[in-house]
Amino acid sequence: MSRTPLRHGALACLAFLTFMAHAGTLEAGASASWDARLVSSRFDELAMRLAVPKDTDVDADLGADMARAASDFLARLRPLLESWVAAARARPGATDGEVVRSVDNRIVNELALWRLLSPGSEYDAAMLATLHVPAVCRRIQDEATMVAVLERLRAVPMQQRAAAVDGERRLLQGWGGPHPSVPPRPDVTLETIEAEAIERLAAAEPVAGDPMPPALANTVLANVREVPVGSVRCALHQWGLGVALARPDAVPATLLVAWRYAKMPRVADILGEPAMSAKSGASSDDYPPMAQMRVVTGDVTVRIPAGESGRPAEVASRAIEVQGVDAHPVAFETLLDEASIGRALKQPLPPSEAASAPKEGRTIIIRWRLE
Amino acid sequence: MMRCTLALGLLAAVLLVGARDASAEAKTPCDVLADESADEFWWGDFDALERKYARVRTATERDAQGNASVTCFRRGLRRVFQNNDYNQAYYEQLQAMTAGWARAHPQSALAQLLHTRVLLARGLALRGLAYDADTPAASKREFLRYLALAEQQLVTHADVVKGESSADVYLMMLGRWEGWPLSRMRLLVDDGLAKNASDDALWEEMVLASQPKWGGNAAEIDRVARDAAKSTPDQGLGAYAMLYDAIADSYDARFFKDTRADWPTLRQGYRDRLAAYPDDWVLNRFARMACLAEDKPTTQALIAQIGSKPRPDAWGSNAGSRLDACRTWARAP
Repeated sequence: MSRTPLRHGALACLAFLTFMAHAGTLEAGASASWDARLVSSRFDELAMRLAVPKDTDVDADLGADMARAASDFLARLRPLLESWVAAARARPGATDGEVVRSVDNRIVNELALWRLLSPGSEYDAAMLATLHVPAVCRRIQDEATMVAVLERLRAVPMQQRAAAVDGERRLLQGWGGPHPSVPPRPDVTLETIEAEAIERLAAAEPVAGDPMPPALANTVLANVREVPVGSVRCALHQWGLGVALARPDAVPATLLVAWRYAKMPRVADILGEPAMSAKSGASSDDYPPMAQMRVVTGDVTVRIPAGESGRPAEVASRAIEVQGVDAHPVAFETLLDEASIGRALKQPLPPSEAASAPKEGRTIIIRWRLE
Repeated sequence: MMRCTLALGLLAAVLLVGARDASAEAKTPCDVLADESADEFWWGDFDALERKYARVRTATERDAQGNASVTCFRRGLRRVFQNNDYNQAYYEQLQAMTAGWARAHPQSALAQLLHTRVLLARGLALRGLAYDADTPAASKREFLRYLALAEQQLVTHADVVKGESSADVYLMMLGRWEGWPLSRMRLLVDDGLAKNASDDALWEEMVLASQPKWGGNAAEIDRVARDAAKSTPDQGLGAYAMLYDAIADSYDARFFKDTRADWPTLRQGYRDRLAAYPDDWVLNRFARMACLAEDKPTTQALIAQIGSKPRPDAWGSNAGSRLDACRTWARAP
């Protein structure tokens, strides 16, 4: 069996906790050794994610190609991690906890960017060619792993495989780099398109595109639906992209970006849900525990349409800061969305507008700060 | 509605576990084959199913437990709709998927068979398990409509599926619900056996259809069991035992009263079967039947053979108390 994301997540948490436990026993002034151990533990974590599984049944050429790409990546990973640790340590007054958090935030964000960015149109075409192979998701529990990369690559038609492998190699080469061109999050997300299509199917209305495999239909069409995770989540977005592409107004390039944002690993996929998520009595507009834990702050602009429009409130823009992530915090930028909408909807209209609500609706900026 | 939700929610677990609680025991080759075909169907991997079916469709060799590959393969497929509660949207997607396969692979017998099986499953799920008198007229109408669609699918693609024993099995499933005469069903058994002599589901469908609730009677059941044994001389009376065993649960304690099962023949049948294909589950079924037949020496010997590791799934409803009662009775002087 291939490694699962749950294991990766659990391992990440375990490694973190073990690391922190040891760190607590270190004396002041031992930060160089502490930092070296942080680098080693994170290197091992990433090496495990990027390893070609020994029991993989992909063909030997493909396995060897990707093992080489992973090896090249690992050769430059340690200095990269050392530079991130050094940068975090250089911040005035940085505590050990802040250093760990900064480095982990950066790693999570780089893993997300790795799966979000496109290395070029030939690679995109190869990925699109795998769309009608629903079984490609069967063994993809975690998108940010070599297992997931290999599963997609082996579904690529042979004539496009070289371009796809080359694309994956370049994505690994860009890992941790400056990322000059990160595509903006599309206005209409794939999740929105999927939710609309699922509602139509549940109401026995037709939806263009491939039918769902039973594994997906069983999860999202049952009367009490479950939130897809792991391979079913992969299948949902694969199906969703097919549905979106079958719409008459489809713009493939935009939809590919929407697909990548949808399937991009989330913070909880890598680090696990924070224990305080389960706190009873938490309100939907409280500071989200994950955002608190990862020190995510900033402003979220919420648009509340006029009541008669019937449209729900939505996030119009975000200006988010994440400890340890200098630019493009894609893995974190939606962590405050739901709570921002919750807070915005609770804000009373100013007295001047209360008598006659503006027809165009309201725009409210929600500021998230940690003391 | 809640039942439907729960049933669908449990489906994934059922897929992983299998009908005989295979996780409790080491997996047999049949379990593995069924797991794989269930998983491939579950994920819509037609190409993998097609490759597997090509290997098993006419394979006559049996595994150590006596299972023929084609029956294990079909057992796996069945898990994708192994509940009798109905969720329209789920079945709509399933039907669309197999209809697409049937269109895309017009010369594939498996593609046509899978679509047939889904139509049949959808009809059965619509109908549910209630007695005919308790089934709403609308459900019955829809059920019959899906049966007709399934039959039409086989008829339309007769040229493609004519070499498949699975086509005969599916026709027999249809025929049982549509009340076909047993003589017609028997022709399908012979037709199917000519394609794959190891496809035991043909005899199993025949014996099911021969029960009184499907229009048969005790004499018909006995004839089927004896004919099956005659057609498999290499298995002794094993087929006789396995076919009576297949319907035993629906008779429960009245089995020997309401059927013409002959205990000495049945006992020999179980022995023949176990000699050829040792299997804990069959051993437990044999013990249960010996207890029901009130054959104390045989029960004593079998209970001792089973020892401390019984298979509760072989003992039917109230397995624990039934097993305890048989043990106590067998030990009593």
